Amino acid sequence: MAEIEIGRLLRAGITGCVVGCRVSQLNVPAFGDLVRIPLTDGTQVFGLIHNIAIDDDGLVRQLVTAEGLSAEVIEDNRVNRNVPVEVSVLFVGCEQGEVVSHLLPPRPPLTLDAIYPCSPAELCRFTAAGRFGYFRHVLRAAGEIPIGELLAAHVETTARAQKISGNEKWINEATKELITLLRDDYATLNSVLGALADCRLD
Amino acid sequence: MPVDYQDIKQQIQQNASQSGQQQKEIQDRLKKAGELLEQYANKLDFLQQRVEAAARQFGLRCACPLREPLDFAADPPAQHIRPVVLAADGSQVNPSRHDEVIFGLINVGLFRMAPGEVPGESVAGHLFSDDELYPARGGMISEDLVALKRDLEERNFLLQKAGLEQGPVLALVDGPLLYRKPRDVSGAHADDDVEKAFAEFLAVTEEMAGRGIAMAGYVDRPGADLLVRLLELADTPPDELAQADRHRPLRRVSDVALLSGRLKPGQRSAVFALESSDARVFSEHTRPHFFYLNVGAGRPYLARVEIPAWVADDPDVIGAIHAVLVEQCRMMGPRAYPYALNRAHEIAVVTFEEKRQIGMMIAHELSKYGVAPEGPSNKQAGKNAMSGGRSQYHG
Repeated sequence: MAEIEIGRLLRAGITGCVVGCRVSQLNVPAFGDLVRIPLTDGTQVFGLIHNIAIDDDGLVRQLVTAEGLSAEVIEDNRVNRNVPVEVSVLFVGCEQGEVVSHLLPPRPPLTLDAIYPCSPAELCRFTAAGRFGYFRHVLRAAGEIPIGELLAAHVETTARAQKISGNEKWINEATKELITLLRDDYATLNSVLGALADCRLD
Repeated sequence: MPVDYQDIKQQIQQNASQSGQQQKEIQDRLKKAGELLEQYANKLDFLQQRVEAAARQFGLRCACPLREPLDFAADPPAQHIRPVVLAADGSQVNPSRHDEVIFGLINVGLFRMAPGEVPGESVAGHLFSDDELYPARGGMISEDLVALKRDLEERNFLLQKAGLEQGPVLALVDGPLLYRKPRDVSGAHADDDVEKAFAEFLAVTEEMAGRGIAMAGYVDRPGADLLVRLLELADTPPDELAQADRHRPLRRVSDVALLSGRLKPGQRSAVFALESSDARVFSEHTRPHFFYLNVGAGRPYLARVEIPAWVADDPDVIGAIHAVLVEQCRMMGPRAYPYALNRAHEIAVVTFEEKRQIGMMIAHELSKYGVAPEGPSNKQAGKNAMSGGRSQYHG
């Protein structure tokens, strides 16, 4: 089956990147999803989606005031117009020679590299590798991104995938690890646990 | 050195103090024009004969009525043909000897809208060859010729894309259908390149008509006084008709001012033939005609819509153009303008950065053949340096 790319890279640093995609591709990525970016040397960079921004422009600002906007105009602005949705990704690890690492990638991806969503199997493999080392990249971004909500979205999706694959312990271990990592930061711990409490974990 | 605001302010005050009286005079003339419109509204045979007689005596540019009275106003039809709308707009890079690399470019954007389908867009660029840039008669290609070639490219692109459609097509362009040849390339100063391009322009217009592709030129905020000129002509005493070209009692009254209060939102005026020496160059079949259209939803906002003669003869096609343009303009909300044309312009426009990139691509390619660009002129370099802004001292 052909892989569906989410979008292509606009700009990147060593800790994250911003991906541009058309609005019509927007049904694929979601906040908290794990994505992967294959590099030409065989390395794969993994990241979590922590923001999805939809910019406007002069024409869109004018169109919102029009009465009875036609379906054709809406489709045109979503499909054709050069106003990409910007998806921000926080790098949380990489894979080299089939070995998953929760260290940052050795180099960022390049302009127009394609970004793909991780399959449930890839998600389980990445999140079960090591001892949740990738959490520190998320926690380091406290104050810049809503880490409680991001972790809640990520844990909810991952716990479901891990449970289906037979790893029912994953969620308890993940929660314990977060409590350990945040034991000296009561405010953030409270915020993260509050968000996790809102997760629907069936 | 900045503008001398004190001096300019005095001139502004002087001009403004005169404008009240001028406005009153124009309002008086507008009232007179309105009276003449009603007086001659149904005297179509008389008006047609007047135009014919005047056109034989001097170069006249005015409206000529067809079948509908002068004060005609019609709502868009409730039922009409639903054509595929193809809108084309072109933009150009005029070659300049001051640029780092001298090149000329025409970029045409085409936008397609069909009922119930996701709209499509296409673009076609044409980079001028050396022969086009430097015509045989010497010098560099003129901006007028670049503009004519741009209009020609728009029409060729429309013709090409319309050929792919199965059903009826409405081909929209921004601006008039009429091409007014610049005076400095007419008559004794005729330019072969302009003549050739114009012949092609007429040929493609003819081909579109032959294939039944309805074409319309949308003129936003028109300043013309074609209908007012007709009224002046009608009111000229017969023995003064030979001097009617200098008889301008309704000077500075525009057609828009005359019709604004007479067309309700969405209504169109009567269809008129465009009488001018430039229009007579077109065939009977393609000669430009026009009507005014109030596209404003609240306050009147009139546009002029130019159509070829064969369209003017077909009420169903006029009805479809009328209804589609009103729909198109309403898509844009309070600033009424056809959505498809707005998008075609957006597709076509060549930004400053794109122009710079193309210049760099050309310079790179030329360098492979040992040709180095001259670089910007000193004048341009000076302007660039001034626009670079100032740097702040940080210690």
